Amino acid sequence: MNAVGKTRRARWRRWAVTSSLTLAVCLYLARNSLLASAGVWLVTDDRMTEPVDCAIVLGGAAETRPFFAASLYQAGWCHRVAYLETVDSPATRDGLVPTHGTLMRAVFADCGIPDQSVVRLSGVVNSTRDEFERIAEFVDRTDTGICAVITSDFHTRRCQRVRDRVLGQNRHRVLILGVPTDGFGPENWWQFRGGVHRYAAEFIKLGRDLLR
Amino acid sequence: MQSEPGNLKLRVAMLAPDLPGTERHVGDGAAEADGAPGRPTAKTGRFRSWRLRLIVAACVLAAIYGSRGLLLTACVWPLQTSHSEAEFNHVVVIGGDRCFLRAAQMGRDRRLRYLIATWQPGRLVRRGLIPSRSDIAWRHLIKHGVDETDITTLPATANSTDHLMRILGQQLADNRNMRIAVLCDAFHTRRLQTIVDRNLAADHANRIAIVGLKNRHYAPNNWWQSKLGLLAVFHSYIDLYFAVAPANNAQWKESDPTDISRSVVR
Repeated sequence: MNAVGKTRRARWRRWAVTSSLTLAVCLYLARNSLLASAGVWLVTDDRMTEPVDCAIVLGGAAETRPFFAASLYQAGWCHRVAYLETVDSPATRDGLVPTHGTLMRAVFADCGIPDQSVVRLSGVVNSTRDEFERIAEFVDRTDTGICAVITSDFHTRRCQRVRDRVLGQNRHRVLILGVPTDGFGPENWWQFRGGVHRYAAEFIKLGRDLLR
Repeated sequence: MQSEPGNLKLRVAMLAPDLPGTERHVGDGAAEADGAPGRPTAKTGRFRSWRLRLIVAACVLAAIYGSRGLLLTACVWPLQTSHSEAEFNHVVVIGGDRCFLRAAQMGRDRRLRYLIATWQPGRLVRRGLIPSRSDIAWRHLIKHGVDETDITTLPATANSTDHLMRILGQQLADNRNMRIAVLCDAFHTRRLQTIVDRNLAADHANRIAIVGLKNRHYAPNNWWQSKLGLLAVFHSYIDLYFAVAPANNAQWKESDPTDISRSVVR
């Protein structure tokens, strides 16, 4: 290689190293705003402008989701509350903790919702897609009006994608509402172990969903 | 414009490439113009160096593919510490596959005492809708044949694993003969060892044995073959990071799930 080629290559390498280092430093300095923006991007829930027929609680996060649905009911923003039965955990199979459905009914009863206003959707679910398939059946089969799906705030973007895919033309009949999680939110999730577990897993699942 | 000798050599090379001094090289235009077709030029050299790099890269990739099992097994080494064989007379269960069954089995051939940690209750426990973690642990141990008199609930309520280790440190300080086995998932042993070393003095830390429980669904040499194994490694690394990372000052606080103001437009 001649001298001009060597100089050009050396200059290019220097430029590549300098820009990579600059980029890395910038990313590090802006990490808090970048991570917060990524968290906020995940939260894309709908707003209710009028009361809905039914608030459907997705499986998981029983510490927050059913309480939010109960509050909607008590404030007159929904006429019924519904839940889905999830696959049992080992502790549930051993009879040490109640099943998800039993727990949902217990929370609703504890919040003062009468039993006749609580609906159990058919089937046992194991994924978000399963849940929306059951919701699609429910919306199709019954003369239900607008429904609100209650889930954790960081889960709303993926829920909207799954809803649009599964419900098709009926997607406007289902709103997605996000509930804040205990302990952390989209602005500070990376500072908590539980936050990193949930948000990182959600980013991976969303990435997989985007590639589908 | 090519010189006559150059032209002649080029024609000879085309007709008889095997003759000495008539080798052709890819992109030899400049060399041909110089009348020296046999000498490697810049383009030839670059081609050769790229070919060499490609061969080296292919060899490296082949080696990585060939030893992928070993490399993936090595990926989980940082998560684990060697199993401690220290004698113990008390057991604390943190987690792991069938942890209560295995804890109960440990006490079949010798007398062990079981310490149950109490954790800060969540909303559902406070409302009495689900049993607390200590209740569940107690029921599990009884179910697996542990005598009720051998189970003791730790006096203080832990709000983190660090806090639990400090509570255990206090127990060790109060009881000189106490030696504790802490049962956890095999992929959490490094994390727990880090927490023990950080929170306890050396003489107390030496009396705690971290016992990693194998999982029946995956092992260090096949964790990548199942979804459960992949998730376990992913989450174990996050846990390890939070165990070794400097503590941050972020305050964990309970949200208000009854606040619907953000979701409704009045």
